Amino acid sequence: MKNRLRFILLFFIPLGISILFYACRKDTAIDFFQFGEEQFTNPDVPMDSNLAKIYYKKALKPTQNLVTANAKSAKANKKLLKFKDLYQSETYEFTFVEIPLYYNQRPSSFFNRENLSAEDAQKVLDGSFDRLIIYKDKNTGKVDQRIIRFIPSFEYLQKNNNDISNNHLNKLDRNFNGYLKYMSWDGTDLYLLKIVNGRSVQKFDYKTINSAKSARTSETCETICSWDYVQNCWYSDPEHTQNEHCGEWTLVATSCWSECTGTVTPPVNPCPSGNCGGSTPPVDQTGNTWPNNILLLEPHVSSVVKDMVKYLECFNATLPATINIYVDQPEANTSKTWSGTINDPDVGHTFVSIEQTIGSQVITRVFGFYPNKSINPFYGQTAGSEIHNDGGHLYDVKVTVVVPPAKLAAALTFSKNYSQGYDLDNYNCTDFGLGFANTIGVHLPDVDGTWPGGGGSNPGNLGQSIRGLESSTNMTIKKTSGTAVGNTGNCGN
Amino acid sequence: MIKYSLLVFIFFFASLGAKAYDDTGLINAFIKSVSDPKVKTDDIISNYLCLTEKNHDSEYYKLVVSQVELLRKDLANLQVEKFKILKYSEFPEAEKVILIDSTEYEYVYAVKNGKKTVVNLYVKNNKISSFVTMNKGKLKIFFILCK
Repeated sequence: MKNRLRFILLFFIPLGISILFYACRKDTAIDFFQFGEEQFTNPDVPMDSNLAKIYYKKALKPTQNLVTANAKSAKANKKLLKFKDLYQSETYEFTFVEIPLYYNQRPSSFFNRENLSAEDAQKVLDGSFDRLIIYKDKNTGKVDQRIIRFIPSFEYLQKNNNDISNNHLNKLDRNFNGYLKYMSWDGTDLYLLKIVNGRSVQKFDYKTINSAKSARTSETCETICSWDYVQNCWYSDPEHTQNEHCGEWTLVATSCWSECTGTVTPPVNPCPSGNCGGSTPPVDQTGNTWPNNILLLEPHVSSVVKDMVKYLECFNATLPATINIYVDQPEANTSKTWSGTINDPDVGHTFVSIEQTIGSQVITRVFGFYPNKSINPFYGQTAGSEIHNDGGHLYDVKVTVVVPPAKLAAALTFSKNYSQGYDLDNYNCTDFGLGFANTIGVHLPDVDGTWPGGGGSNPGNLGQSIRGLESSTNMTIKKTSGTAVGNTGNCGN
Repeated sequence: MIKYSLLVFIFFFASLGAKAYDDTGLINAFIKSVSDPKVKTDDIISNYLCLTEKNHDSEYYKLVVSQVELLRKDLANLQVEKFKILKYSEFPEAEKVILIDSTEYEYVYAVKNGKKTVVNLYVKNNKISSFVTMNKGKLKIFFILCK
């Protein structure tokens, strides 16, 4: 009996602990964001002011007195959020809010490329600000946050009268030049984006910058230096420059690294004598993987359209519209069904767009038909299908037709009810494009081609068939390559 | 009795990392075999690929042979021991262009030579289900080898 008890204790208790450990390990991230609130786990509930407040209160506020990781000072740094000026928006993958941040030790940074005078550098420090981004993944419902520092160039700041607060993460001024610095809640540096004319042109990963393993020297390197300051504040609105409640800026860290062609070398000490009061930037210790496309300024690749009804809801079926059928041939001006190598064949693509002017607004939606998973052409395996935003996709041939309201209505109905599965041989992107064209009375020649394991409608043959047509009063054929337009009009997804 | 407990612990924790380890090991072995001219293509197919087609004269089998041989060419003169294997979650954002269901992410890997992707792989049930993608401009779709 005693032995049996010992067996139970020694065998099942460790097993139980193991299972408990595994369960906790697996769900740590999810548990952190659940808080028992259904809206935190439901991907259909967007991130908004209320959710952000709950998240802040439960996940961030308890740790707000952590020392800012950049600061030399061990003094606790308290952060406050200005929910009144919250900005709410969304990208293809995330809904998010952007909230101005206050500190009792306000941090700021600049980069020395402009050879700024001390006075101008101070203006940049004053004009920079931090915002907290709380975002929610539209697919998984996962919620996370980042602090993003908006750092203008001195010229841009001057042109905007020292106030750049009109900028948002997904809506930068077209002439915004400067940097966006991504940090974790405790202030640990994560990433730096260089912004030129409102677009991200270069990304620096602080983990790489600080990794001695990736050290490399190059004759074509350019040195970038970062200067981090803090100022003690009793109260400050970081997005405006009335800093009467803040003290002097104090340099807490400075570092330089070399920007080489495609590589980043580790930091070097810009003050070898050690009297500059600086230090190298901290190593990213978070181990976080950068989440999907939180680099909101990076060009977006194709994106799945989750709800076609919503995607097309802006169109007015009582007005005419312009419709384009685009064909990206595997090899321009040939009927080849594929090009490139047999291990990564380019099979081309057929896709469409609808464009309509309503009042002064032009609404454009570009989309194409895709499988939603891997397929096997030899075994005739089919897949589910999904529609993707094909804005910016290259094409070789384009058919343009202006359609009356009735035909637009037919095209919208066809597109919203696209539910047919994807079959490489029998219903692929080209079959979808041909079906779409039929609904508006454009009957394009459907010529089959073959490929290893099968055959059917395809962009190569369709493109060549269209090239055989001539433009008419109702239909314009463009036979030179180009890039499809992007979506316009603020509605749907 | 203590031995039993230790065994339970060891077995349990070892199993946690087993899948990732196995996939990586399989991919390494596959890449090494493909880059080794002494290893026959037929052996590579039977040892590593999930191909269900066994008829060596079939059009399908011949295509797969051509695909493996093309991969051999791609790997020729490269230092395969320096390759890195990335899980899908570790892919750079710009390379997350493979059309798969989110439940399949765990099966997807990239073999990288520096910043360049040598091959994308779909690994399931200890076999390579695909090393071939169909390229649709911005997006890629795996061609799965087996039923």
